Amino acid sequence: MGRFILKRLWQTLIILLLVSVVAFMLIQFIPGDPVYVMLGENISKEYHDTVYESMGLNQPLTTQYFNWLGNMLRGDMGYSYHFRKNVNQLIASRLPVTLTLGIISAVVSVVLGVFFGAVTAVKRGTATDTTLTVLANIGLATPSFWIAVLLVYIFSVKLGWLPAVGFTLPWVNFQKSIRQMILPVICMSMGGVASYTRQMRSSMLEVIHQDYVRTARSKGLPENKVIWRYAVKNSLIPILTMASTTLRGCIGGSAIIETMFNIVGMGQIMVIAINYCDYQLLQSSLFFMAGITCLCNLIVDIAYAYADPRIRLE
Amino acid sequence: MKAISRILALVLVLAMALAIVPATAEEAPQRGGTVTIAFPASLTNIGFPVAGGVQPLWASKPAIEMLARYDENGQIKGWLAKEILVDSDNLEVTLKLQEGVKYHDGTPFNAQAVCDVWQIYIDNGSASAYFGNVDSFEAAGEYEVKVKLNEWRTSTVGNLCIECGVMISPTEFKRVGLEGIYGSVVGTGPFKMSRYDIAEGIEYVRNEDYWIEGQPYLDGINILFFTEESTGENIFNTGDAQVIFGVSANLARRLERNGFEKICNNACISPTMTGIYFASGNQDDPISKLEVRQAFSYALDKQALCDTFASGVGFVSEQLAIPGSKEYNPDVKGYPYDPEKAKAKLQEAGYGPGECTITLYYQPVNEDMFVAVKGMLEKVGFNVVGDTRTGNVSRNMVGTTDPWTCCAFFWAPTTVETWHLFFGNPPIVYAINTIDMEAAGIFDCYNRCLTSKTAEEQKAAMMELQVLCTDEYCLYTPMFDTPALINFSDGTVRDHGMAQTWVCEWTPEAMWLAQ
Repeated sequence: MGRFILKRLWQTLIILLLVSVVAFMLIQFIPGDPVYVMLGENISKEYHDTVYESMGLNQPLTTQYFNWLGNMLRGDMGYSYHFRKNVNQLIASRLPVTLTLGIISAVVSVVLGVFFGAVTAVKRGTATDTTLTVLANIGLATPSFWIAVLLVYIFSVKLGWLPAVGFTLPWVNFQKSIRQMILPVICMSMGGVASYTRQMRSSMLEVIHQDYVRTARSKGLPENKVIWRYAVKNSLIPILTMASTTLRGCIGGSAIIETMFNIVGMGQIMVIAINYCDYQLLQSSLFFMAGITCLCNLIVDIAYAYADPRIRLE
Repeated sequence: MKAISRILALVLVLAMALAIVPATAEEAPQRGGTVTIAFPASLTNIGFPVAGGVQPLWASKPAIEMLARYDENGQIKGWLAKEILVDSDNLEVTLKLQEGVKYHDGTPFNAQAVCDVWQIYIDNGSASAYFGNVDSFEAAGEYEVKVKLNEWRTSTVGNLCIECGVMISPTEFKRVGLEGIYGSVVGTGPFKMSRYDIAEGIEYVRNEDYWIEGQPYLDGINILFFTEESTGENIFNTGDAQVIFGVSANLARRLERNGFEKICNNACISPTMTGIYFASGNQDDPISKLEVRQAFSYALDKQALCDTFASGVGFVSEQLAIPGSKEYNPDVKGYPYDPEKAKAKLQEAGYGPGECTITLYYQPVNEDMFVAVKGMLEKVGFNVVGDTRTGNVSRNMVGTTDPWTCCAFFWAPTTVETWHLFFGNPPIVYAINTIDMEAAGIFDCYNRCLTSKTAEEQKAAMMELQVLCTDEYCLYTPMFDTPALINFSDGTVRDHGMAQTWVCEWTPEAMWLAQ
């Protein structure tokens, strides 16, 4: 197991290194002078030169890269010229928002997806199965921003039941937080619920025809127990793999939903960084988000290997 | 019968009285409440707002006041400077300041503070643009500032009291420096900033020590930033905001259709218009002839162009001014759409159908507008050749003394402060070669617009310039304006003064919320 973890860690480091190169090269592709692009052309020459030097742009490319990487490894992610703040501070203040939304959406996706998937498999061929499968297909095919527009129009503009914008962390004001989170979480988890439902259904259909399920039934165990203890549990391994993708998708793909609901999380600040050409922020937050994604993958891989010994032996 | 008539009369009088009373009561300012304004930006520099243009200046208004404001006629009137006096030689300006005004940090607003703020402007890049004709300024008393000028310009008072009249706290500036001041809003305004998140918004609370007795009426003002316009629309539609600032033409049309109140004066929010200018260094070229230029102008159905290309919120103007602005001359006849007159003018110039060839430059992004204009011109007998060039290329060509001819789309400057783009030397948008502007008296007239000693003289010069450039010489054909930065209200916000006299202006101290 230890060897497996070390191997995966090594792979993760290589991926992160590659991501750092891509993130760094972004700023090199900006046409023109990045300082003027970032701060506008009306700044004085002196201010331009100060910022140019402070960003280390007067140094050779390799020096710039290794300086930046070194700073990142030391935990210094640079300075945001738009927000006039240290990127570390900025991420520390915005990450909880995105993580809260992402984790809740991922949990909702997994729980509902597993439940609906199990139900459709057990009730295979019935009206329930057909309805849920059709809904899952619709959920997969519908873009989240469109769902957001629709839900806001119905529940906020027309009915006035839920707020159209804003975000409050649950430990600040729980009731307000729940009200504000309902619509974004629905939008973010819709695709996930649909994927899990379909995955769980096919996984369950495979499992419920296995010998050990038949044995359990023949021993006279109640059907509920057979399904939830034996069938569902053993159908969860592919779901575990998908979980990392979901969390990654929820965190990385939150930009659209955060923008639609005016939630200032990591996604929104990255959008602002792009709009206002704040490349240092963009570069560092991109690397940071990639780091989180790699970490999620690593954790899931380890869990997967733990759950299924065949993986680590391979 | 008489008794019934009396009762009926009494009932009528009572009904009328009841009808009047609520209307009167509604107009009396009510205290309390917080107004939320949806704002389409993430602002970075509200503490030193002049550095960032319209949006930061607008958003900082609840906290930071100016030395002067514009009145409904576009003239400057004192605010923190209660009197602005210019001596008879127009070489000395005296500002008499409001007394007893304090900054939010407790420091006094006085003559020394004004001088310190101006020095901040000078030290940070505003010297040549705004203080070029200022020899010196000094505190001549606790509440009196004297400014010595080396020459008079009509923009002087505006430069001192509006452009550089944003009275941030010099003490705060000394404390936090240039970087810090961008996020630290300390002024003398009716509201104090209580929270500022560069990505989320600004919250202001009532300044209990405000210098105008009994004001402000509101408890607070929240400015809520959004990055996506549909999000802003949702914020406004759900009632989470009472005002939405700076919406696009498309959203404006939608909100107007839904019955929301547009709260801005077109003359204030429309600094530029779309038009076509004529330039020719070659006297044999068709557009060197006045009749051809006039034919060109008569041939354009400006209203149709406006309806098509201004998203339904534009309006037509025949001169370098927006109707209702101080630069606008209602006596200018212009060239209203008249194809027959266009044909006649072309004939008068000696060109039969298809004989007058002109080249019309446009940028690829304006392809649709070019096609429409070309169609209109060809309908009256012009032969139009299209050419696409970048703005810089055409600018260089016209800016040189080489004989070069063109008609090209341009974004017409519509305020006296921006006319230098057209009449400056060299102009940035161009008609310099079309006629001898010196001989035509246009430069002289333009200079009078800049140097008149009184508002009346300046007004007269501006009116004369419009007639000269449009009716007499037809130097250009302004077509239509598409307003930008349109504001809407849900109808509950009163006395806001938003964009009524100037794009950045509003009156947070007088604003109140109807129940």
